Amino acid sequence: MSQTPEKIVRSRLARHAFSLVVGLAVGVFLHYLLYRLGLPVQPFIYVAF
Amino acid sequence: MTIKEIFQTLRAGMVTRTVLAGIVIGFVGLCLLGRRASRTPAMERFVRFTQYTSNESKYYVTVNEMMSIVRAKIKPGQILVVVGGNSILRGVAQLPDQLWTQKLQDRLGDGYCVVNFAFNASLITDAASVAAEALAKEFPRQIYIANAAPTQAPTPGGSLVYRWVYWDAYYKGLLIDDPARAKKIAANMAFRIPQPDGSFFYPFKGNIQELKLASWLDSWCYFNDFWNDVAYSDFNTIWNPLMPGLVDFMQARSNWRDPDPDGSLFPLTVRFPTETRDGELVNIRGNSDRAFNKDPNGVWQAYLPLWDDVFQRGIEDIFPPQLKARTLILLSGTATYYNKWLTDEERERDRITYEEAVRRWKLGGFDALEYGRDFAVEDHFDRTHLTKTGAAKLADVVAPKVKEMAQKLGYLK
Repeated sequence: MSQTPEKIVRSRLARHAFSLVVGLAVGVFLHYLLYRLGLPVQPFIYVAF
Repeated sequence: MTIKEIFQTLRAGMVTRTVLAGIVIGFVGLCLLGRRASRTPAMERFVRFTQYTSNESKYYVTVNEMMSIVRAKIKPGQILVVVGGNSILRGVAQLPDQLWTQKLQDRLGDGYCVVNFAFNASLITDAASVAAEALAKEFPRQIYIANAAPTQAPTPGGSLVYRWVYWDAYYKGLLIDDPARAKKIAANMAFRIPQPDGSFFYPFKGNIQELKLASWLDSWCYFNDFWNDVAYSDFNTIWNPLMPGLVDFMQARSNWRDPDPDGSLFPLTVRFPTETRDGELVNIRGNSDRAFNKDPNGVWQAYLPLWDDVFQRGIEDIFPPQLKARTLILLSGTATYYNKWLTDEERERDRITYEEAVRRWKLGGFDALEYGRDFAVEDHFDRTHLTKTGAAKLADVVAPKVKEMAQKLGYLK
């Protein structure tokens, strides 16, 4: 059973939208990962002294 | 449906190029938002850094955050007074409205803008000094105040605990180029002490390579500014012992109140407990016991290896030369409560050690003064920290000195 052109366009848009959301989430996660990995590990005085 | 099948279905529903575009848009978008956050002051009602806005609770303030605070606070024509140093100048045991820097602001008046960037256990060369240096071009009429123990020479580039601010500013191109300081920092990193097992201990090196890499990456991606802004204004993402609980720790850091108590309400028996007296006296004697010795004629002689080789050389290249004259070093005196347990000779040695330290700082191109020797017992919260009455007295001592420096530096023309 073949899909109507309208359905094909809608399906493509949905796939692109879903892909974009997943990509955005990965991008945000990578940015946050850099932040967490970049936190200095030197302990504060409670540990250092 | 198995998990594998779920993933396969999801994968089939995605367009690779759009996913990649999403990753780039998401990542670059946050870098740009981070850049914007770095210029926007989140801490609008800033009074001082608290445990919830410091590394004590894993919040690593950026140099841009500090610069934004100054820009939001200062009015046109005001002389900038940046206060750094340790918990004493941060105002431990003083409520926000009792804070010595608030009193300093009152005494200096509208011509000055006092900003308290002190952190617990931070040195003269730590965070506040970096922020002041980064602002030197924008606000050249500035005075930097920090405190130290009399024979303490700070490390250039900051202490192990706070030096992230220096490297943050360094990779963002905010520091004054100073080859002498850079040379000294490099020498410190290479300094090593042989160990019995044949290995070497590097006391100043720490995790410097990781810190430099992270700071370099941040200079492009601004992740620290962005996620700090989120943590302060929206929700905190880092669990820490000071903000416990499974959910509570996620509250925005701006929701956590300044926890410092009014130290003057504590009875003297709590402020100066008998059990810790001997230890505190060891600390007080430690300020001077290696600084001066009596010769056979009973005359005090400075121990020159300490003063010349360690202290004087130690303070030589901590700042670019042009920033030394605008720096006021406060030599924090200890609580007069302990005087009665010191001998006359120990009190004399203490006094001349502080005098020598003031002289040596001035010799190094800085300005300096000591405070606390004439304070009353109730002016201290413990051996070093001040109560609200001590805070007022400190402001009384510092305000005229700041005005004198401003005059001398030509800020009042």
